[in-house]
Amino acid sequence: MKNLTFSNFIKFLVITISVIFFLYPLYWMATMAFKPETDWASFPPKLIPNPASLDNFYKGLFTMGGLQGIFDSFIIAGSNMVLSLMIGGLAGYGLSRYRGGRNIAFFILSQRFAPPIVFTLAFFAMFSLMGLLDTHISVIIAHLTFNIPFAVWLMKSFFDGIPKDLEESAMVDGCSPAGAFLRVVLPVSLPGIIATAVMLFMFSWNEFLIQLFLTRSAVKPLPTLIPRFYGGHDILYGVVCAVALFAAIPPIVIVAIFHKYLVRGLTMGYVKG
Amino acid sequence: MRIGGQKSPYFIFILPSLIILSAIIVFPFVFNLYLSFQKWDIRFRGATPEFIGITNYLKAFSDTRFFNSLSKTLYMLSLAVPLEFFFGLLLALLFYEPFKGRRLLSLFILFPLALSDAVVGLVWGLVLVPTYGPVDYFMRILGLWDLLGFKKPISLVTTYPMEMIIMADIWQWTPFFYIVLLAGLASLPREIIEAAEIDGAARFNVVRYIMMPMLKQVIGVTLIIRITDIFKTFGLPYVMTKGGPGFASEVASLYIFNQALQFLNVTYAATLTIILIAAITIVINVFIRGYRLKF
Repeated sequence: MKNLTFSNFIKFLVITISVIFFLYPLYWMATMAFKPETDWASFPPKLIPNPASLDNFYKGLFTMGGLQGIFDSFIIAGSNMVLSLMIGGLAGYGLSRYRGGRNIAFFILSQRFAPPIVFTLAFFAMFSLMGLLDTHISVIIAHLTFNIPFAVWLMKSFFDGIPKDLEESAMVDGCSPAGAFLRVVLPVSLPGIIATAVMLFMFSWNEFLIQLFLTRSAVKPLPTLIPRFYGGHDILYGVVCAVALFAAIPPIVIVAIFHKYLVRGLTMGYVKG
Repeated sequence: MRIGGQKSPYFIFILPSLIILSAIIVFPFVFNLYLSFQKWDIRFRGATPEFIGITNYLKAFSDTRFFNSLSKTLYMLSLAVPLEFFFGLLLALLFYEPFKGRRLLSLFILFPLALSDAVVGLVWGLVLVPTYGPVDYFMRILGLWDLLGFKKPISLVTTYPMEMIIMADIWQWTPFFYIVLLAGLASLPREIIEAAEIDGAARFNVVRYIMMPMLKQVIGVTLIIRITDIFKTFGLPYVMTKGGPGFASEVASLYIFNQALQFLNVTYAATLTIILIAAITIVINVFIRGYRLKF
């Protein structure tokens, strides 16, 4: 800002208020995780945790199942990421190179519009018949419903940006389409693949409804732990916040590193960003 | 679409996705449709589905609690999406011009987007806690309670459950409009905007008559994504209010969840999902036609 005119002052004010609005609630949760029990309900509210302690993290990890939650969430989000990326990434490539694929692409996109409760309910009934409720595999499969279409469209948008001449010249040199894909296209599209992978991971990691529906006691992904300990009487505020912080940190790190790809990811490749 | 006799070698790349998605998206949908015509008491082991025709649908159309949940969802749609769009656009315009610290502040605004619905619900539940929460406290010291006509501080979540859920949703999704619209703005040719500004066009007119028409398709896509997302709303009310007090914040997905897991009426819940899909399909088609959205 060159000089402090009235309109610049208003701008500054709106930006400041917005940043406080978006950051403060998160900050409040993070500091709560460091507050000892006596400060959970202090009046006036303490802006900075003082004294600060790590008790909540200890309790969150070892007595509230946070450690298992982290493990379960990693298993689910990690396996789902690998499967969605392999299956969906291939289709994204095919659709990018195959002209007749528009209808197929839209069939794959249509899933984006259906509420997950639809699939979830059917999965719940099906998995209960198969005895697969409360297992990692049930959630991993159910998460494919949204992550495969996501991988297809996002990878398609990345492959669209790679000139077709590249693999055509490889094919002239005697590569099969699969060979050209593996040897020529994949290495070039690595940044796009990584960006897609971390976002697939993030979506699966954060997903709430399906995990709540399909898991109970053997598998407890992090997001499902939160309502278990928040909502009744005698809420262990600090401990819930510590667990929530475990759930929040990986995706925040992902957004901080990959924000360049966020627009493309959130619009399934429609807006390049 | 020619699938049989397809010459393109690329079809083989698409095939795995098609097979798997048919199994996990088409089949569940058909299964739900099948269930919606059945009666099936899953509390008894070995109980089997029994055909009951359209009884479930008749029940749904006289189910006031279902219509209540649809009205909550539509209420959320009518408030959350326009406000998120408006604030997102405002922020995008503010961050469009460079200033010191823009990158870092921009990143801070994106944090809510990274979070699970469960975490967002918890965060807003916490800041809205009566007496000990920061919102109550700041409203006290700024005298906002008096200003808004409350004799004494009240619990916002129990008095205005839907509005507080909408507030949390605005917190979580305004950054989405912000970041996408900012990318859209950045893609516009700068000369056109500068030319209009040099010609003395007012700021508002530049936005309204130059930027918005050029961004029409991008805006349409952001709106349709959020409109469909509103129908999926589940996590925020589930964590913040459990649909209460009473059914005051029981949105559609939450009601269906309760029918399935609390009352174990799986077939009736399946019926409601079919009706919900029909409702969403209508809303989307009306929007795409009315807006002339192109993909």
